[in-house]
Amino acid sequence: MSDLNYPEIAQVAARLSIKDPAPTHSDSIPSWISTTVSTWTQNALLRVLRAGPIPQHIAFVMDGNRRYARMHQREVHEGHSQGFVSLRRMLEVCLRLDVKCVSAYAFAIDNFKRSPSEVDALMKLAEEKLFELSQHGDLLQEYGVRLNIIGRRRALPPAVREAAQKAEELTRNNTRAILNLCMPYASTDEMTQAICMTVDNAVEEGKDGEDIGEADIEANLMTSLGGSPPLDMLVRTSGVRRLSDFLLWQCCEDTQLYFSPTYWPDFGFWDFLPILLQYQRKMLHAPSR
Amino acid sequence: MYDNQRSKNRPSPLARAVLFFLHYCYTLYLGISSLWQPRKQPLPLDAKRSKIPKHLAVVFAGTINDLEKTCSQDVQRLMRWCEDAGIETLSVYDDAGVFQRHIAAIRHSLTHADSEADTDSKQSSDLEIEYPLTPPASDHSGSRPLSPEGAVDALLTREDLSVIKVSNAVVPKPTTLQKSLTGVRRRRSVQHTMRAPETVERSPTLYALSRQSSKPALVFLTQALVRSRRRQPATHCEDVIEVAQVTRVLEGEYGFTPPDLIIVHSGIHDGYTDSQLHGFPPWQLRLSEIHHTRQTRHAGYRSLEEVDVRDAMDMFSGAEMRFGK
Repeated sequence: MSDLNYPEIAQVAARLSIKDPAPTHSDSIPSWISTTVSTWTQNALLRVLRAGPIPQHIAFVMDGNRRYARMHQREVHEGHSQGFVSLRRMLEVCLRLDVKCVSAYAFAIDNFKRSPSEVDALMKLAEEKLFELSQHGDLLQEYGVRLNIIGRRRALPPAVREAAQKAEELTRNNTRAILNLCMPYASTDEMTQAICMTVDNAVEEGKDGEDIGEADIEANLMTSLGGSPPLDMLVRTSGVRRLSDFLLWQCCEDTQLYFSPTYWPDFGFWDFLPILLQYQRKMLHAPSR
Repeated sequence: MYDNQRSKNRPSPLARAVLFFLHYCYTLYLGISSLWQPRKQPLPLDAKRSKIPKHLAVVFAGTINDLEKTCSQDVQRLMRWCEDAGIETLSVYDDAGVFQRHIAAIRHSLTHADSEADTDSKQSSDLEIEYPLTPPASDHSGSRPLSPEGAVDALLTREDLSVIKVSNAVVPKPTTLQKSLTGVRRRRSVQHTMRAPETVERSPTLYALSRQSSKPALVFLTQALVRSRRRQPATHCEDVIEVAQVTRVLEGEYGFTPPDLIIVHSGIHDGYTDSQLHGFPPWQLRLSEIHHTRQTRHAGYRSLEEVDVRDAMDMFSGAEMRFGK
């Protein structure tokens, strides 16, 4: 949001992880103390924030990995790896807040236009991380999260498709929350597929065209088929103020849109805090229009 | 689907008190920071920018009463600003359809404004409205056969898509001398006149949109496809329709093109920034830059102002566009 003024502290302290990291030999004692205090504050704030309205479904457009890599003079794939670390971090924040569903825009259909080396690196990363995420003892199992891969999965390389299927199977019985990993995804593609499924179902059931309504198309969207609740909040990082063909049907009504200037790999709890406070203010006090 | 944890984890009174305090501090912080950071003055409408949107859409999120009072004036002013800024197409949207209901009055105000402005040059304006008229039964999309090639394009009528288009018919352009003497138009128009004095001038094309132009348009398309499938049961839906074809239907002759820039204007000062899209047609949203107007301390409804459009154009000009690459 254009007038969402981020506290200076958010820019300075955005790199904190949720879990209290074990001190290493290289850590100085003052830095260990500041990290511990900050983590403790963060965990306390999460408990406090849960006392207010919490969005049921949050979507993230994880933008800025490449610019982050360029800014730090690193390879592009390192930016994407850091982006995955940030996804884990934000997923854990959301799960601790009792958010029921998180959708993340991991790879757009249009991203296939990028250089073959970057696409290959991204696919390799996806294969590796999908396996890692769904392992016993990892985040999804620990918090009881079901993983859904949303998008035109036929376009994925066979190895990634297989990893996606395995990860989905491993988390199928989890019922506490949902993670929608959108890859390769385009909302226009999702809407077209939903229209097709609605048409096929109507013909099979002998329905008249006039019996079809918005709810029928909505029920056939991939997010709905995966059990996602309505989208309450969409956050896009890196200062870009577009939806880029992401969840257009889901967010064109009363979803709260927030645009953060921080690059996704840097995005953390302290960036998310003012967004959540803004959402709570809106839910608690703003008159409905 | 989910375990209901929330009832088990009722927030403690202490947590609520701390949250209240946190919100109090945050409100205080926002108040102080808004005083501390003076608003930067945006560039003029006709200033040189690296990018200018070809199509601007404005989402009006005020109440029906407010919009009914101001819709004609809002469109009239927006058309003038678009012309000054070099924007070719303007869409106005409100979910209740106020702009569509008042399209005749809007057209009248535009024609009247144009004829007033061009009195000296004796220029007449001839705005044409393409209404979503109710077609005869035989003309309805449902009765049309679905042929294999491009038939999806012809499935819907203007009525189904609920898009009203007001386009400028060919208007004789005043001579360069007349323009220079009257000085009615601003810099951009004059420059254009001087380049090609014999050509004709068109004001921006206007689309009036409502909630009916949004998801219901996709519902009508689905209904039309069901009727077509009944006549050709062997075909599979995925063989008949794909993204490009839906795009052609919704953005073709009877639809409207996707805006490059969307300004969302609520006009109400309630201290809580509007950050929604109010049901704007989802299909055309995909690559639009989105700008929500700032709230100012203003009693009652505040109409959209030129400074809001200039603000949005500055934001658009600075946007990085990679389109997936």
